[in-house]
Amino acid sequence: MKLYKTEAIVLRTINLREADLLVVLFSREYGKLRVMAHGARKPTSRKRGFVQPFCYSRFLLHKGREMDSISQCEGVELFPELLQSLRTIGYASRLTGLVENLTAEGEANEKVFLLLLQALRLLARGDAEILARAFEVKLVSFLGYRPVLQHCAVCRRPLAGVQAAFSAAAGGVLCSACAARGAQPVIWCRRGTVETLKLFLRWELARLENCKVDAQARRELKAILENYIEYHLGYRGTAAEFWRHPGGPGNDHA
Amino acid sequence: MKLSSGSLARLINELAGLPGIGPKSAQRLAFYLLNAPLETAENLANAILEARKNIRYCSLCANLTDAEMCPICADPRRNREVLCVVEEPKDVLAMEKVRAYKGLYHVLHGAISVRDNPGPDQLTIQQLMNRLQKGQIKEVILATNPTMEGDATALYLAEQIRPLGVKVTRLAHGLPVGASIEYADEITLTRALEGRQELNKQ
Repeated sequence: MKLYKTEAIVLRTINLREADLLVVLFSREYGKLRVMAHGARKPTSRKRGFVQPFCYSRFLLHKGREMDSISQCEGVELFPELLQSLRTIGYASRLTGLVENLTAEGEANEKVFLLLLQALRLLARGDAEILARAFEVKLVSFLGYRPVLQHCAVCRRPLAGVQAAFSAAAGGVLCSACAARGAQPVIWCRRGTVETLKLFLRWELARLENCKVDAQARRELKAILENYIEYHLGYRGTAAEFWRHPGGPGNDHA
Repeated sequence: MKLSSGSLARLINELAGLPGIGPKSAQRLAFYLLNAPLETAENLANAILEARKNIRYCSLCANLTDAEMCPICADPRRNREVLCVVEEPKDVLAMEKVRAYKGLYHVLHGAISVRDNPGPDQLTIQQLMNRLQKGQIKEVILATNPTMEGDATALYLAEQIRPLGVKVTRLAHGLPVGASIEYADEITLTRALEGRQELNKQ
């Protein structure tokens, strides 16, 4: 028998055939995996509850010729509280969507695994938006795309003044002289926003509950990070439509 | 036998394109149809064509029907004050099998997926809101699937319906009949505990 064990978080499920589920996992040991859960949509399935999106479960996987399948599983942490509001469903989907789209299949990255797990634990309790932004900048850093924030990304001189410019193309912040030269498109923001980004990288997610960020800085962070992730990793959140819909979870400061 | 062309090969190919039918089953079905009386084949072909041409969405509940209004919406004995919202026409069949529900239905034709389509605009939510605004319906039962998408849809609908002042309920989550608690997951058990019922009620 070709069986192997892993602990993983369910990133997404896709309905297949009559009652099967294609499950996209992010596992601690093997990174992203796509596996089949046979019969998992039947009410009597033993796997059913543990392969729902956002669940952290232990899996016994069976190596198949084309695709591996779930032989057994048991839940470790299932985060039922995330399904209680549109806002947490929306943010949890954003985080799992980022991990699914920015990582390659079969490449283990324990830092990313632990980051996602910690974020899902905190999401229903704390400030979901701030948590998501901190998750984004930490995630891209763990994947090797850490933005330059300590000094100007072009001339390496320290930043000065109250305004800062962020350029995805240059890979970080620019000083006013380099930004004025206009070689790269920039997003202007306040200096404090750059400091907040640095804080996000330095602090653990759990500590960010005490982090006060005003509405303008939230807008700037969102614009900067969305642009940065799209430029370097080619991923735009696909939830756009639901996200912007009236009553959707993304209308924090629309 | 070479089957790359000819009407038999075409039949096998068409059958193999149906869900759940592999090449071998397609071949078996094709040979069965060839050996059966001509009527069998004609009936099947006509049934398929008729269904395709006549079936459309009910103007009220968006369920599949071959008339302007589906038999459930047209039935005068049904309770017109209760509305059960389901994801798919298949779910109406499942609910009808129970025979315990006497109200009307509304079929969404999907659930809101947070990450990809469909978004709220692709479902029949606007039609649902129009129905509710007429004021006859007193209670909406949200019978979307107990999955992340179903929950998101239910939460979204509850928020949309709230200003209308209509009572909104959600189907209970709990232990499936015949299952053992040992295999119940944390979420189901939590919900089952929340929705527990008093047994010695007078």
